[in-house]
Amino acid sequence: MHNNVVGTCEFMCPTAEIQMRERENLLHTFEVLESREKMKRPRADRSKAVKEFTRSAAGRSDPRPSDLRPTSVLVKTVDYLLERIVPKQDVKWHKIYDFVADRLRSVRQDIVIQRLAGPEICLVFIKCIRFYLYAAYRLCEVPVSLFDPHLNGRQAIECMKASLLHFSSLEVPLLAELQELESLYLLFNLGSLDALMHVYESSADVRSCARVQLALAVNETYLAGNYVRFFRLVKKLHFLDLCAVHRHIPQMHNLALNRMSVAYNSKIHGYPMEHLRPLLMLDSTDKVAELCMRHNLLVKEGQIYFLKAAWKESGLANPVKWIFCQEKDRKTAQTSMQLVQLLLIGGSTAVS
Amino acid sequence: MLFALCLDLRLFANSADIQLTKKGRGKPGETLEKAADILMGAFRICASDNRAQSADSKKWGMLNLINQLFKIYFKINKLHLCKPLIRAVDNSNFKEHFSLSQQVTYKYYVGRKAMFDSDFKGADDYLSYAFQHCHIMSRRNKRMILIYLTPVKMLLGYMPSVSLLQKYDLLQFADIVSPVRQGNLLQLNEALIKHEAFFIKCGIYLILEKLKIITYRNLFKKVYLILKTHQLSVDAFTSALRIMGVDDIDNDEAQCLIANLIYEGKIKGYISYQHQKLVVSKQMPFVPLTSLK
Repeated sequence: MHNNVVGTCEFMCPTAEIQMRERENLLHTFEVLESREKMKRPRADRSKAVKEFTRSAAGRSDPRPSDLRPTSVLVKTVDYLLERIVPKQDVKWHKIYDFVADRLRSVRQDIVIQRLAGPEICLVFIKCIRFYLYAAYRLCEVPVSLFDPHLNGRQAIECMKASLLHFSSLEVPLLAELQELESLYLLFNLGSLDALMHVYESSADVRSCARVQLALAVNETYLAGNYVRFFRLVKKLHFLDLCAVHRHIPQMHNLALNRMSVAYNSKIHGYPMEHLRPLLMLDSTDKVAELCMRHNLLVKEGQIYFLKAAWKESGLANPVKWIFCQEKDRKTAQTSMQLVQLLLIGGSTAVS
Repeated sequence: MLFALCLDLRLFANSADIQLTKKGRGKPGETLEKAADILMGAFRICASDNRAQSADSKKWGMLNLINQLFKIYFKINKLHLCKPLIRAVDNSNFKEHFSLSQQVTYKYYVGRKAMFDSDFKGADDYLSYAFQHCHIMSRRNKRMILIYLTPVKMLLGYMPSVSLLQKYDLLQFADIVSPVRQGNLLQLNEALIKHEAFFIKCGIYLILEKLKIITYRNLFKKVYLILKTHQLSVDAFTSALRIMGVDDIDNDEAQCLIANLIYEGKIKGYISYQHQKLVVSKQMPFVPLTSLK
């Protein structure tokens, strides 16, 4: 068992790497010195260059302390990325995502290599998680070639699992953040027995807080197939919790229509689309019709004809920024300042 | 001798694991996993012993080893690892010849796994066998089996008697049986919360949550019996739910609950949105729970 390497790099990016990337012309546009942007070989802006993620190659010697960043620098790095890069308006957001996600991965790598721990590291983790979940919502309508929700999801889950371990070994608990984490973990993994058992095994003051109780209630309605209550509760979620549960909503739409195709089975009588629309929180009767037709359910003159025999299984539609999500987004993350606040401290604590 | 060795190994690994976790070193379950790997090695030797005579065959060691492995897998929450072991036993022709106590232990774990996989009929078979054949003097073991058998039976529609629960000091379930029978959701929720710690510790909290749908079914059946018609207004169900303490329920949600029961085959009928009615079959619309899968 060797001693942990202790990083000594004072900058967001180690000097050796800056020199190498300058030489090889591998700097990112976000990292270059402005005045020199138009030159063939741009120079790095020390205050903007951030260490890249690279896979540790087998056979490579242990990283040097000068290449590793200590806790204080990692905290600064994450805050820089979330405060300065994330709210940029002049670039397409999926490009911002690529940069930030990569640099955050490198931050997490530095943590693992040095086996760092403690409350500041826990906060670093939770900021990463907020970013991944927000990105999952923000980029949900972008083509998969530009943003892959599965890869993002894997990063998020990896990060959540690591966080849960770190939080549990704190001497002085960070209660509010832990409650947030448990809630996000449960909702992102909606329906997962593992995640649910985990929440039940956590301490009472985590489990009994309003936020986690709401997440548990949402999970319960999901498992029970109670589509009416599910959407009613989802509307009450904190914006980040909504981002976490967002990807599971199409599944609930499917389930609702499936149940109804059996229960309201009739060749003659229809079910009014405009009544179903708000129950499933869909944006318009056109969207309701679209969903029904995916499953081969007849739609005519504002009525849905639920016919058990007609029902066709269909792949899930992609989650979109439904209006009820956009409203919450507007209230919570519309301005740059709000967005930064959301990611740095979880936004406002009110469950609106 | 192999038995004793394996038992010691497992118990040792167990305490080592607990100690290490307390000190914050290593992930919980790591040592147990290592012990499991060793036991698996021993198991493979036993399983592949095709040469020796029946009496000497190492295959006799199989079930004991498997039971030890089950204990570990359950503790570290890796139930899927039980599957190949179960398959191995199913494929062996020694099944019935193992000692009764080994068989009881085996069926106990397989029953619990079946519960986890929502195979309640299977779980009932295994756990009932274990309970019936468990040594009469082993009250602690019988109680453990009953902790899992009871919720399974309840989901299949069989409510345990209070005397049975009393005999084995499991009166927590008594608080559940009554509200489920009566369709009293509020009381069921209260009972689940009251005994939360116990149910969570035993890992049956989530199974008991499934009793909610049975509770709804029982409540709705009462409504049907009171109204004595096969065209039941949805309002009646909503009112019934409100009386039972579900304050924030509305007709849409009541219909949703009914829809789920119809979908699961627990009610034979359909909902007419136009007339806001549940129209049930004239013959046994509330399918008896004990006849369901």
